[in-house]
Amino acid sequence: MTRAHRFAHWALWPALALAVGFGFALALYLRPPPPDAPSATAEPAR
Amino acid sequence: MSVGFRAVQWNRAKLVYDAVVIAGVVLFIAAFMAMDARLAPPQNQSDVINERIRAFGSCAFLMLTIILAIGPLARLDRRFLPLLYNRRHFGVLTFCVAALHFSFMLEWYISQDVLPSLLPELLKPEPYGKFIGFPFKVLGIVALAILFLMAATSHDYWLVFLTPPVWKALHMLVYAAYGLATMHVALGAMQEFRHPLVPILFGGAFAGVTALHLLAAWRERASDRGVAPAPDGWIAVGPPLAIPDRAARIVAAPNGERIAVFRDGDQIGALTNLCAHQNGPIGEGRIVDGCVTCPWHGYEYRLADGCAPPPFTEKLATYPVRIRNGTVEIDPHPLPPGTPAAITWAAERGPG
Repeated sequence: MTRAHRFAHWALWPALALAVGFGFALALYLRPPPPDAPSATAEPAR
Repeated sequence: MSVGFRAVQWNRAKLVYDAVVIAGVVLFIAAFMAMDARLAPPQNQSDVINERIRAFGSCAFLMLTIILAIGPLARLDRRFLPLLYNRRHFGVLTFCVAALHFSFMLEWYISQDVLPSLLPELLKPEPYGKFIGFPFKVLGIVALAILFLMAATSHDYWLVFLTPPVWKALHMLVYAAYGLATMHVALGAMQEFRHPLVPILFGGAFAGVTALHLLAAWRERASDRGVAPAPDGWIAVGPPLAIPDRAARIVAAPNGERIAVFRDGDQIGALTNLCAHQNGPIGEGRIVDGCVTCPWHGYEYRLADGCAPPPFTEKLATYPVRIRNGTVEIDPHPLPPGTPAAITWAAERGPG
């Protein structure tokens, strides 16, 4: 690889890792609860 | 290895490589679909199509992950170099699998009789202002478009037409495609399927590939620091025997470009470290049958003048070499490609 391509690797991968890592973590954190999740206050089945 | 146009040429190594990749794809998809059907048996045609969408999408993501891991793995450990040999076919097959994933998505819309609603769904502006709810399909479509561009320009014809630096820069778009594909999963499948394996496998794959690229770049950073030249502008490489026989020692010119200094017995020559084919690291190759051989695709050059042996026409830039006080030195100013510049060590040693 040319020096310019190596520099592009150096600059690109940390930026990509930060952007995608942040987006992925946020998407995981903000995941809506499953629609069929039992409510904590639901009356237990008899 | 001519720079002229020629049709794809097959050899045994390429056939074996492709057969292994195709067999891997078939096995993965069959295993995925069998496991999926066992965990959640499809109830109707829509479920069957969804199963295919998941299987082909996961397979394309895995293939992209492997492709992006091959480069840094080969830089970190030479044993991975054979995987680089036919990586372009691997890439084209990845596009085909991703395109099938897309086509099954279209099939799902057709089966539900809602295909006309797809375009309005993608063009509706409101969801673009949200994070959860962002039209993740668009991320996948952009990634697929990049993979198509790369597959369409993967042939050596385009490599020659665009020149290796431009072609390489264009094909670095695959990193963006990988980031888009990862977010396509994060905002799509990961929102729908709650199983912890989904974020672990997809996030872990992205983290692993990133770590490999950063590690390879970190390991190479020392090589990019230019060697300070002597007052007369020449760079010391070391004693002749410090250069491994039939291999090279790579040094960096003050401008950071790398120079491969090869020794073939008594002959010492310096070439640019950039192969004329794909700018591969020629200095990581070896001298085979008297020719410097690129480790990526086997392109060959004579050490004496950097020219490919007839009938091939590629030429590499060479550098003046001398031996002073028992040390090999090179002038970091390149000579025109194909200029004879290698020296014979025995002759340079002189009498006594």
